[in-house]
Amino acid sequence: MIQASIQLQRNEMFSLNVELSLSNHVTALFGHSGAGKSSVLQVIAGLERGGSKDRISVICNDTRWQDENTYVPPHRRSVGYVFQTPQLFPHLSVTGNLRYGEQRADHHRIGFDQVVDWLDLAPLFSRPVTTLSGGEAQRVAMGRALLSSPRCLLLDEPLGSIDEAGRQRILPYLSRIRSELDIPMIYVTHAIDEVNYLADHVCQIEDGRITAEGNVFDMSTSLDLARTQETNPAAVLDCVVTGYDPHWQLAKLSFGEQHLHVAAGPVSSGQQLRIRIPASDISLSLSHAQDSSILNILPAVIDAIYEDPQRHSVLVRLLVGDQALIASITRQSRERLNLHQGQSVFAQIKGVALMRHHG
Amino acid sequence: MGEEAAALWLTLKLAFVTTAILVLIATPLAWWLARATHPLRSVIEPIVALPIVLPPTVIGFYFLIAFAPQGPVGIAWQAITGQQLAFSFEALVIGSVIYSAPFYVQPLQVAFESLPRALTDAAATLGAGPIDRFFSVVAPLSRHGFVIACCLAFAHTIGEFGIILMIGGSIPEETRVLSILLFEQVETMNYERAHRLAGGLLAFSFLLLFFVYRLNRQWRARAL
Repeated sequence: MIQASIQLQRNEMFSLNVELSLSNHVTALFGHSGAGKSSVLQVIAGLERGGSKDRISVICNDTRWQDENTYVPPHRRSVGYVFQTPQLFPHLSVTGNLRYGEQRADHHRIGFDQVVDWLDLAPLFSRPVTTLSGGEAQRVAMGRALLSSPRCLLLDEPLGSIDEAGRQRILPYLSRIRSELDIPMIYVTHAIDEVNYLADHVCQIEDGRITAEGNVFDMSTSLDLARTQETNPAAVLDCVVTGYDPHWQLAKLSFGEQHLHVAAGPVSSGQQLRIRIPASDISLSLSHAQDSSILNILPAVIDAIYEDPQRHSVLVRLLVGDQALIASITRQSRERLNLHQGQSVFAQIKGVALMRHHG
Repeated sequence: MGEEAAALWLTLKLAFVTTAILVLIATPLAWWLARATHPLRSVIEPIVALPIVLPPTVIGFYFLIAFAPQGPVGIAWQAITGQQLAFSFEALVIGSVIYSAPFYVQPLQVAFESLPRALTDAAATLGAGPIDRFFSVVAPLSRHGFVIACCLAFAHTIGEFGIILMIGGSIPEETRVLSILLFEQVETMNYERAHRLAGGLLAFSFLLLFFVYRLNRQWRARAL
């Protein structure tokens, strides 16, 4: 549990005013660069102490890290910090880097072999640090941070300097860490797909202030947020596998009372999956079509409608049971079907992207 | 021992002792100058650099007054060691440390400043305190800076003349270093010995600077 209250005046152009309370989940700090996301991490780690006029209070569990009279220096806070670039020590080997934090930890909650296994580090041992690719080096940096047995893990755009292919390769490792560890993780990023993939809780930061906050499912279907983002909106859902048909290679995924049938490789029942349904892959109809190729047609109620001038379309927030979805339709369709709030419709879901397995 | 051998030995001893003392006391100073945000930094930095621009005789003059038996440093020295400071080897060491300090501090400070801040921040979040960070990250990554700083301080001490003349005089095996001996040979028109001494110093200084520049180039090539 981490509680932070930060009032920081960097210069006349930038100030930070943030209150955060983080439980043992992944919190994504999401926003454009320069919004102050990284500064929040630096304050929590003690790397940014603030001046005499700034008011900073950071509490980790029951330990006071910083307030008006206290300042615990970074090396006594036991935070795991992963920087945007790996910051490996070039004069040490891969193992030397991994052991650096381990040797200085006062207790070891996470074992060396465990971390090597989670992050698949063994093949990198014989390589000089300077020859590692960006993604490989970042994996070592994550391992190094974990081996210091931190009480929280702070990740400052860890995939920010890695190419797209490397990013896709490294995301499952982050997911693995997330499911293995029971400590608060703060993940700073401006990439919405990373937020959707990893986060439980999302804080949107703009100009040094938190402008929206909530769980990742609500945030992904918030029309207010959808209109401010450049990427096309998509709903995020956590589902359980309740069946698999090997003949048609279809997995049955359940959320609440509802089910989705999704083409997938073999998955076993009981497995947790996070999926993503882009707004552009949902269409609406007033009746349940019987002659459609679309497998997933769910009864839904229109919760809100928003004209999206940026994309020349209409965004519709739907409720399927407790779960919200978001659909993007044309203005003409809205007019023709006379859609309005509270109306019962059928959501025809064409595309479902499987994002990750929970541990 | 011949005069030249004695002077050579004394010169090397002075350069070694001076460099060793600089490693001990000027290294923390260079680190502080590289990282400090303290307002005093803007005063300390030019003070350290003063010997580069001041005529050695100016520094030597103030040292002479301070080190004299009635001078403040001279009195304290006499009280602690029971010996006179002026015209002693110890006086030369003190003078050389201050006179050569910028040649040690500046290359090292540059090496320290070129270390990314995030590297020491990473070490801090991994549990390393300030001194631990210095020895486990900063020092090994600045080893070229140390070598260059030591070479320059060493060479500069060997090349010292004006201050030594002012505060040391020319006492054999105490303060008569190579540069002073050379000066005396020239004054007595002993050009054959003067040539030997001057040529030797020239060759030595060239070789040392050759080494320093080559190292500097290699170091930069690796950093790119």
